[in-house]
Amino acid sequence: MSAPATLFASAIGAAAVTHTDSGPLQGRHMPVVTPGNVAECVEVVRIAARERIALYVRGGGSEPRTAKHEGPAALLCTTRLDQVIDHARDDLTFTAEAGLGLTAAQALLRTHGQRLPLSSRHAASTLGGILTRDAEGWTRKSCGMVRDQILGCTVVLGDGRVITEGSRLVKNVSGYNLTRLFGGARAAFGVVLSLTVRLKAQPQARRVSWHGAANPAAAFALAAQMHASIADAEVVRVRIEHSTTGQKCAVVLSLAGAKARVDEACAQADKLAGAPMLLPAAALQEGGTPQCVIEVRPADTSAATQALLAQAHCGSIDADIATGTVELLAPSAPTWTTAALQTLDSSLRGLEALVTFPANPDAANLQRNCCATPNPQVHSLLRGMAQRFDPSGVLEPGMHSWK
Amino acid sequence: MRTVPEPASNRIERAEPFGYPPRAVFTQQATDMPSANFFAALRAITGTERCITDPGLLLAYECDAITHLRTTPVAAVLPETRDEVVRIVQLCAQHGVPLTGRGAGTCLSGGAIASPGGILVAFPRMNRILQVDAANRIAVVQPGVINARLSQVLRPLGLAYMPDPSSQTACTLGGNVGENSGGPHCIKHGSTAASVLALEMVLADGSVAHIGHARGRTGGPDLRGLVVGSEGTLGLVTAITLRLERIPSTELTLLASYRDMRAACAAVSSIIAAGILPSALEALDDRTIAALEASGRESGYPRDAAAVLLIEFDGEAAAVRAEADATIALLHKADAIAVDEATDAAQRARLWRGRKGAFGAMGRLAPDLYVMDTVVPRSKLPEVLPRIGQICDELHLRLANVFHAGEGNLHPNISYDGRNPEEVQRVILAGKRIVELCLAAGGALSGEHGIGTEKLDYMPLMFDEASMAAMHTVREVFDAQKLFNPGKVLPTPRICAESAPPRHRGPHA
Repeated sequence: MSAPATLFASAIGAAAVTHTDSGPLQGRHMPVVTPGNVAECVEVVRIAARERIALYVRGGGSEPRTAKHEGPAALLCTTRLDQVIDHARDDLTFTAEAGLGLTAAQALLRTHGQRLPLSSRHAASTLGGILTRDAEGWTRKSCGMVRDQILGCTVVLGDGRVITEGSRLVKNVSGYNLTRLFGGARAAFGVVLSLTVRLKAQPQARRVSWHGAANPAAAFALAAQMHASIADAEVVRVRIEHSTTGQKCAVVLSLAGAKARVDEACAQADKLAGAPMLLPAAALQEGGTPQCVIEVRPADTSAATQALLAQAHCGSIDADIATGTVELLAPSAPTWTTAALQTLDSSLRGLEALVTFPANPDAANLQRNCCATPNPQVHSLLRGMAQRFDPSGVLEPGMHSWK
Repeated sequence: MRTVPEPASNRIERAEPFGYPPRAVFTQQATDMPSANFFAALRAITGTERCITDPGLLLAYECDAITHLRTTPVAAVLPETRDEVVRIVQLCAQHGVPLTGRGAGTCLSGGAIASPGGILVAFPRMNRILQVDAANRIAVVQPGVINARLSQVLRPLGLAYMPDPSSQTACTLGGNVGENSGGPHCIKHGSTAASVLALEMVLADGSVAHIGHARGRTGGPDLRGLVVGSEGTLGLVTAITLRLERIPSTELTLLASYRDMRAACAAVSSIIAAGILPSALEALDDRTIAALEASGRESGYPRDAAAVLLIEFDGEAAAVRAEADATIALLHKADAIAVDEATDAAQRARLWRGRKGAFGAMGRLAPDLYVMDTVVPRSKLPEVLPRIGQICDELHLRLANVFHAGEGNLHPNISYDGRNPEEVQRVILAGKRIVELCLAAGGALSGEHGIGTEKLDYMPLMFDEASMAAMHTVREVFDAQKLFNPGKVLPTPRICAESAPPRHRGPHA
């Protein structure tokens, strides 16, 4: 057993420490520490800070990431931090440990006629992972952004201090909202231990439908019509199944809410596009983790899709015209070589796009803001906070461009 | 460079502005004055007309909408451009002079008043709507744009900016960003933070940062969400990119009346528990209704009700009807005396005129009005509201309640006479007890007014030492000299670490 593994095993038990060869430090055999409760997790971070052991944090593993680091390191897995702390049914808030899976949480809440306004393509996604990745799913149009759904969190900072930010209230402006800061930060400042999320009621009715179109342009035109005429549609997405033999295009429409309204909206949609093929609700999650995600302003969704089509020679593309999110769901990813990335950048010229590669370990660190103005001030602020919250620099070294 | 003084302890005194009756106020005294060179340089940036130093004119800037907390700034400057803001910040950094951003001064927590020895940077001249991008539902505005004006400009385009504080005809969007302001329609559409996509911001060193992005996400930590609601302590915002929404096709407004507030609150809890999400769910008590009647505002609220709920739904017609019907059933189940539906736009507007005019109407009841702001879990409303009434009864204070019931966001309004120092002490003592009550019920210090100066000393009641220290860390990273609005939001570490000494004589002791 390596020195870090021995240290962690002596603190939280040998059974909580395993090893992997497929961690973020490619090719390195590294310990995987899986604390069984919040106190153990805090202890792991404190040991890491004291002993200068780099920690890389993983929830459900839905975002493979890579980093370069030479010193001692371990993978901290949060999946055993899966307890529900409080379900305030009448207040519509839900507090749970960060490693609780989204699927499990939704199943529990479904029995109470409630749901989390969060979604993920990856069945193993954890609540903590969704917060720290600021991972948007198909609920963004109907429920808003992830960061607006998280009401508070408890975090162990890189220096071992435990802080509680926000609250279990749906409205609160007391002090700085550090919960926002941890959203999207991965574990650069600290490890999220638990979080509170607002809840919504389960819709009375839902229909997910598939409306075929002759080509991408026709699909985008139809989607635009639907988006304009059915303002409260849950999802309006263009799906292009792109292969060597041709393209199959459609609009995927999800309607959810009061039954009378869903019935009315279905009639509107069918009048626009004809009788659709109905899909199970789970179809919204199908496709696996996207290989490449481009986020643009909504009006640029079609242009961004064209750029991705030019790169991706097989697989599917999902384009959400309400949020400007275009996902490549290729079963086998194109090789994101430097040349390929340059071509993608070039084809996105004129669009302010955020491009990420969530499922491609070789390209996961190539997240880029095409055409965005360099913002050294923001990086300086983030770096300053990381240095204070994680003075030993043990949290995810080599993984954040600004840290 | 001079040392920036920590805000001096507030002390009560008898101020006599312009011969009006003496008024008990808590003032902060400057311990140091900037040099003549500083003022000369300030005038060189804005010109004499937009650099106010006349003591008489500065009285207009000595308080915000919470009138018992006052500090006279050493100057008030009115920049017209981002470049002027940059130069003002650089000058203040060079001379160690604190500076406080200010919109319309409608802040209700003493957050928009100067720090001792500091200047106010007021934004009424930076009031341009820079861009409206209807296709992407985005607007870019300067901080001095008045909230309601943006909505007026957007209406012909079929678009709306949703956060609607009660002061929306006066308050600025920059001020809304500083406070993360709410309003009646935030229950469904979110507070200001949910509508802010990006910010242009002048940092402590005079550099300009672009935080957030118009497309929504940046792929990293959400600094934008941190800055919104930071009450001007991290920098000065010079442009704001806002998310817009379509004007809903249908709006339906209900008015339910109750024999007592507890029953009304129980109805609120049942609506929330049923998962119904109105676009507004407001409560007003009989004293508020009486004040409205006395003010001559025609609201249409029943005079014989002890409490009314004003409930609104927006969206597509069928969905709105379904939610309204379900709500009406719950309101009756909770023993409503009557549930009325606004039948036309005029009636709906009248109901909202009453709600939005409530604070103004209460202002007529006494020389001064203390609008408190706390939050509790929505299920706790039926038990917390009566206790607040008891607290005010025990202290012989006149209380009226008008609040965002659907979010558990309370606004106990205490009418008082600021000329009576003893009554002022009772008002502040009531505030402290109400805060303690709400925190004990699982609540928070503020839902939409912010901490400002008013609730500074209460922060350690809500946050432990480590959490407070983390906030101080953020503050130091942004502004090591602590020149941006010092003495607001965060009490000094000394106060945080030790038991808080009284800042106001009497009630906090």
